[in-house]
Amino acid sequence: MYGLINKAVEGLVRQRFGDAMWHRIRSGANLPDEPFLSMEQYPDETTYALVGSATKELGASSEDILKEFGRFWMTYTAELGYGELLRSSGRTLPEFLKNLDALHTRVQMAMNHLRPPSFAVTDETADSLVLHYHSERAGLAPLVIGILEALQERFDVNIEIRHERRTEPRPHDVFRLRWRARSAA
Amino acid sequence: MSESQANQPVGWQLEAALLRRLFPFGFSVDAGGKLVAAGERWSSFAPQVAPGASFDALFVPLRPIGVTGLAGLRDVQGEAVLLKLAGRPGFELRGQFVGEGAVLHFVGGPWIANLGSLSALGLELRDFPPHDSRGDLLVLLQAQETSLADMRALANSLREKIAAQTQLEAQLQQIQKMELVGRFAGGMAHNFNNILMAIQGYAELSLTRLDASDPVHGWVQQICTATEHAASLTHGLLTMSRQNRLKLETLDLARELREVEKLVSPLLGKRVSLEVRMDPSLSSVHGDSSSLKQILMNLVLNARDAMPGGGTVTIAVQPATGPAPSGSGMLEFVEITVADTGVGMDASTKANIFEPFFTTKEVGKGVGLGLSTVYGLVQQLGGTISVESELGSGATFRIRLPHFAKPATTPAPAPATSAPTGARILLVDDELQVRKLLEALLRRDGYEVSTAANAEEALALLEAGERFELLLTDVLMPGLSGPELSERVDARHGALPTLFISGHTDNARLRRGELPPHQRFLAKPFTPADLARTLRELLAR
Repeated sequence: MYGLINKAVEGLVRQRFGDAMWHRIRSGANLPDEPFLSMEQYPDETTYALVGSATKELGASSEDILKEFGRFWMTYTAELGYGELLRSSGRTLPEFLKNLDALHTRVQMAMNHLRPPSFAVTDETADSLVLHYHSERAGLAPLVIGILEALQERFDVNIEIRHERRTEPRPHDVFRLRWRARSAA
Repeated sequence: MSESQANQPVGWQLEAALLRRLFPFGFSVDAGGKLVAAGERWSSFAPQVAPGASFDALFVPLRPIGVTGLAGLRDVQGEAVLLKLAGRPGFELRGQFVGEGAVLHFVGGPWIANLGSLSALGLELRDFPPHDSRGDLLVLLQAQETSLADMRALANSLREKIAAQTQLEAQLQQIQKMELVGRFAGGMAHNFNNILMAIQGYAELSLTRLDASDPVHGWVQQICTATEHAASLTHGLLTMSRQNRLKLETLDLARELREVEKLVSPLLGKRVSLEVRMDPSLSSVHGDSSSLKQILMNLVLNARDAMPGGGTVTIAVQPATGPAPSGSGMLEFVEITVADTGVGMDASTKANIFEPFFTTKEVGKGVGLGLSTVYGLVQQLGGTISVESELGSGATFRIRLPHFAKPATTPAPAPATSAPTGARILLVDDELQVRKLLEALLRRDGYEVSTAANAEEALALLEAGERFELLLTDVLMPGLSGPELSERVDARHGALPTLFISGHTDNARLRRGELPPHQRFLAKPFTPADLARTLRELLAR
């Protein structure tokens, strides 16, 4: 994974739990006290080791940590200067989700070793849709849930998320989303 | 649709529709300079850009240089063109004009250099369709910016680490230098103090035999005064080289500051004022009272000398947190700053300010030990000192002393009582002059004295069956040292009251006064009165 992801994990820990906790988590993951480089590639194991160490130090499940990371990811990338990219990827929740693959294609121009996930939207109605999430990496569905939760703020909606794992026609995660405008709530 | 468009063949109309989609910010201009078609984004972005509008009223060509209107643009077909849209500051179009008969088509799009300006210009990334690589370029540029930010952070972090390393190396160099000077000063002080001891002792003995009306009495008193000055110089040398004794305890900061104020105020003169500010959250500091006073007095007097035209010296005390002097972890400190409004220092003076014997004062006004003594004392108290100054802008000395250190235990002094007369004392000193002087002083005070020039002679006397109530021994001697002699004596004859004397000692236990109750230490040169009192205390136990 690109260093950007590990930097975001670091940013999340430092912001929520302080510098001392970051050093404990980093040390627990057997990583040197060196800054991550956003555009450098790191083995996936580095990120998994960080999440593993965070579960021990924070006493939280990896699912909770990934969800929290997903929520943080939207803010973090916006702060890094990709806010415009996110903003311009859709004015509504369905538009944004349908543009995710296009967004990743754009980003791949800059990060040509990126192995992004793929998203597809089906069964769309005025207030619901089914989001299909395919990834080469296992176990990251909670991260998607975190991102979807963060999108509630962006689009001013409350989203009800039902997650299921499908194996046919090929293994992937399915998120059934139903939303309601917050102003209507 | 205009009449001219309606007359175009079907093929052209299809191409125009395609152009409108492919270039949402494109447009076409007829021979009269009027727009005949506009890309599909214009209606929501800038509705004035619509068929019928005048090109020259809408756009100002910025490139190619020298082209001022549509007429000029007709001549540069195919070249890169930069257009400014009137009424939309910052918004520019980049593309080229492609001619088709009398109609010119502008094919291009918004020209921006970073993603961050999208919103401000009212644009979105989708305004750069997939076939327009500028959208990808913007993402690429943003990624480059992210990388540059990483590199900047990395460079800053490296710079900080190198600065910290350089500072540590400079500190190490200074410590090594001071240790070298310290060893030299210690050796000198040892010999010098033995000589001073003899001069002072014999001078004081002489005073006891001279009538106060005798003119020689006054001269001998002058010898005593000069000896005291010489002793304070060796004391300064030892302090600077961190070889003196400290009495560590928890100090009442406010009281210490009041005492310093009282001591230095009369020395400041009319043109220099002293201000003392103390953070009310601080009440105590761990240290040695006389060292702290000496540090502050030296700094304040140094500040006074730096303000020949007058000014203000400010002592400020506040809590601070910072890296431990060892470089590992953070510590809480008491930070004391002494700032003046004087002449300040240039970089060269600043670099040498704590060097022993470095002085900017006139000959006779200072030997250059004041600030190196301060440096030595601060180090000895486990603290750090730094100076900030520029020529003409005064100077600020910043001292950080550890806030939470455990006070060292010091033996409680025994109550002074009258001396048991006739006590037998074993006196051991390798310096003949000192030995003879001490023997004379002891006999004068009624003690029985046996002398030895070294530890081995002393042990031989004990082996021969002589018994003593007290051992008075020099610390540094050829062969066995004073403490080694004392150990052997105690092992054979029980805890014999022992008084160690020395002009200089490397023994940290002695310097810190960490001795068992039956032992004491006196630093040479001492007065006959100091000796008499200490002996009385030891023998009264």
